[in-house]
Amino acid sequence: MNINKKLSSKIFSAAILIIVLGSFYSLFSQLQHNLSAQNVATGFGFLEYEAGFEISESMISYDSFDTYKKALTVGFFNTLKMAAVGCAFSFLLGLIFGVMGISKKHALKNFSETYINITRNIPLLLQLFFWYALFTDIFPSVRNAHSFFGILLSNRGFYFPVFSSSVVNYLFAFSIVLLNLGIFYFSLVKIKKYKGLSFILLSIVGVVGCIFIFSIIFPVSAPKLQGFNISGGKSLSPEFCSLFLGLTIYTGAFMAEIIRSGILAIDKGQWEAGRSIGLNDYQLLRYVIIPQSFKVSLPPLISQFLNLTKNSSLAVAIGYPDFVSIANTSMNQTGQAIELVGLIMAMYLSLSLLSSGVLNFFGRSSRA
Amino acid sequence: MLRQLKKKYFIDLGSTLASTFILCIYLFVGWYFFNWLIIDGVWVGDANICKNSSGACVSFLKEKFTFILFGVYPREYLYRPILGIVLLVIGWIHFTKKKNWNNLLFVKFLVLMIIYFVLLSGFGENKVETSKWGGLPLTLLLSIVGVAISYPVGILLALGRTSKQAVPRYLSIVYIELIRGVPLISILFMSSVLIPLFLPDGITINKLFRAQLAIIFFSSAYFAEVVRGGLNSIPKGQWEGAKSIGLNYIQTIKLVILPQALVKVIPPTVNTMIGMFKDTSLVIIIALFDLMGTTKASMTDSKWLGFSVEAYFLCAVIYFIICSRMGRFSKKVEEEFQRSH
Amino acid sequence: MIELKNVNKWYDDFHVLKDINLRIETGEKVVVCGPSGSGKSTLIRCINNLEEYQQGEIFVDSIEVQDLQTNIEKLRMDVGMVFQHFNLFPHLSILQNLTIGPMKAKNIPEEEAKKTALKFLDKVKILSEANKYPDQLSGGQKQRVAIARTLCMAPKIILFDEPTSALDPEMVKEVLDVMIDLAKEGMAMICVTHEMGFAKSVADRIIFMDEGRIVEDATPENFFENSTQPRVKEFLSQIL
Repeated sequence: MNINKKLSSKIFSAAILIIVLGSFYSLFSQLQHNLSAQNVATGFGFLEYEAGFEISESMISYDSFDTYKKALTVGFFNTLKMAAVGCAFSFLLGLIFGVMGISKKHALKNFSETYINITRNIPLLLQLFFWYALFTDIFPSVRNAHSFFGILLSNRGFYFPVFSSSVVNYLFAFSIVLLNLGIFYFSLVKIKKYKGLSFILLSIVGVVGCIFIFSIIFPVSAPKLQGFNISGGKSLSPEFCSLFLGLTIYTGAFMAEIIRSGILAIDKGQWEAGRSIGLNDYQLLRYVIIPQSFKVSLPPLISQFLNLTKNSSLAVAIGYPDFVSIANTSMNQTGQAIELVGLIMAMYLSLSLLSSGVLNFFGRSSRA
Repeated sequence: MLRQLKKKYFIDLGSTLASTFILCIYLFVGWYFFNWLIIDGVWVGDANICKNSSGACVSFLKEKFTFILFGVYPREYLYRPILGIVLLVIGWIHFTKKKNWNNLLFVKFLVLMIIYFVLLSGFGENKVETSKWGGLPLTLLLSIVGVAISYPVGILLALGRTSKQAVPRYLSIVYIELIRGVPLISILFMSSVLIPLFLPDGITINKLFRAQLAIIFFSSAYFAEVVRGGLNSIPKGQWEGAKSIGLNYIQTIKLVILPQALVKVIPPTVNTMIGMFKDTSLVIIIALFDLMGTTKASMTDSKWLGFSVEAYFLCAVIYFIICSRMGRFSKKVEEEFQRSH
Repeated sequence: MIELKNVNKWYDDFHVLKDINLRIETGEKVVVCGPSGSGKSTLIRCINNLEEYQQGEIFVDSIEVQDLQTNIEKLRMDVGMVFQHFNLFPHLSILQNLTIGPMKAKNIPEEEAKKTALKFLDKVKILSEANKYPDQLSGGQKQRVAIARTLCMAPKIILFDEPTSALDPEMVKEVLDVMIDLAKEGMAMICVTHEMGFAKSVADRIIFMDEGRIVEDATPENFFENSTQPRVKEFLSQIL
């Protein structure tokens, strides 16, 4: 009978609710009991205490006399830095290998598949350990650092030349990006055959030329061994480099798969119809292919961006001072595990909810 | 056959350039590797000889092989985990054959896991404490038990999330979004540090069990989303057809919806399983010595320092073999599914 | 205005077009028919470079299609194509499907493009659906939109690749009617089709292909009544 069914499902719901609430209550009271019995402090007051430990790299000024709150903020910024840089470059990597994966040239397709296959079947943590070991065990000390094109590789990090003025550095980065976009458009629209090859060649020429021109006009600060240290240039720590390499290469493989299937999902007829009304390759991509492909690929891509951000928490295993690392150190020192684990989860949760919001925003503005 | 190769890789100028370039990369890497492992590789000799050579220290791997694979498991009982792994491999081959997919499968699986557990643990005089379990058997245990429990839990969560009742739906949503929004590390931390704080006096849960719980909590949320995708892809007509012949909710789910939904999402399900298997490597962070953990530990032996690359290489090979096997199974199922539709 | 000289094409080892020689004058309406796999679709797809041929030459208004100097986009604007599976852009409205070509490829301002689009939508009798999306239309409607899309580019000739083969029988007539109107107004066309009624009423020439070769090239009268080729007679007996 209908009434019976409705009633029984309501009873079922009520029963679940009672069980869940009941277990939460008993767990909570047990928790309080245990905490007071062990004299463990509770609450977030500890955030104002002096942290007492150093942090190896930070985007804001910090020393061991600063509070735990400041230390965690340093960790938060480090996480954001790694997430931003990692997402950008893994997307780039994913684009390159994704497009390779649908190339008509079998060698490229094979190379892309090999890359994806190998990276996806080895745990990320192992890859991180490997890159870190490369820096700490394989690379020589600063006195015998490997050097090429002004770059120095040592077990203390990756040193590279920069322009003395930071404005020039931004200008340089901006010009490189602009140049490449221009060359991309040019090879796509103005060149008839061997578009890919022309893009690669012109791009190399363009970047090298840019480096050349800039270094003639503007002063360069190059890393050089002075005494026991390297001065000049800029450096990236082994921790940063290995986390960056591991995250980017690993996530890049997943992005490549997503981009590849996103393009393959578009019917071949769409390419033909676009061409048959006279659209050139750039117009075809911009107005027909990418809008459709984007809709298919955006949710999984965003989910990969999120995964990269969550995976950056593995920094704790190789010593990069991200949020989890610093929270872990704080946990060991203050014993306030509940609050700190709660903070960790709250931080990542808010990032994840933010991206869900972004996804919904895009989902609503494009046609279902 | 040579002509086919030519046609595939060298059919025009662009292809030829690309193929030569990629071939060069492969050859370069291959040669470097061959040199490192075989030609310069030290296959016999102690740590000093290894340190003076630029090649791979294979004697290090030979020395540490058992340790990396089995951790500190007592050497005289090694036959037990070895037997366990062999049984698991046989089980995998058996369970991935479509003709064996019936209700008896669950029973067989359960029996297999009990046998595996008993083999590792032993009893009486031959008992081996869980704190001594390590290496590959531990990784396999964590993953398999993890999947075995989190998959059904995930199904329940997915059913809850798609339920029309508000209570199960909101509870499921909160659980799934909470777990999926945080990294596995935080859940491992939570379980290893917090669970003891929730327990009444006198009851303790050993570290292995806590890690297993964390893995189950984590994976069930991901399986839930995969199954939910499958449930959503079942056309409404199926529900209506079942209702029209008088099946109730539970029967419809069990006999009509789930069989179709679960099969449809086998590829993402296996992908999640592969992900779980790789994720077990994180337990090293809470000081459990699975395969990743023993690999790292093998590098800290003061007599054999500096051979981390060799150790990571061995570890990577083992993970790669297992993961790619699983991946191949998933591809096979996907192709079969494509063919029959 | 379209000339094919000694065109040969292979798919790997399969010789799909064999020594094709053909000349089509301005304003001619040509129907290409033949058994499946005879190369009909491949033939017309070579004309607007959707397929490449290994030997021979194809001239559209004296411009060789595969010459590297040729502006292929410009050529494609003059040679329209209607596909068996319509290939409308699902993420754009009907109106946008029609205006995107003129606006982007020909740089025609939006107002003018819209006016032309509405005019052609009216011509194919779908004006009321202008703001709908492709997935809301029936097959026959979609194909008429596809024809309107081609017309907006002001082509000199339209290639039809089995335009009615994917349609339900009731919708075939509405599409054929549009095509007949176009033909009567003087639009040149090459039409790959099995609709022999259409061929009889509209075509200036009927070309029969079999196994990659042009076997018969005749006026409808001669094709249906006086063909001497055995393959043609066999084909006609199966179709009619």
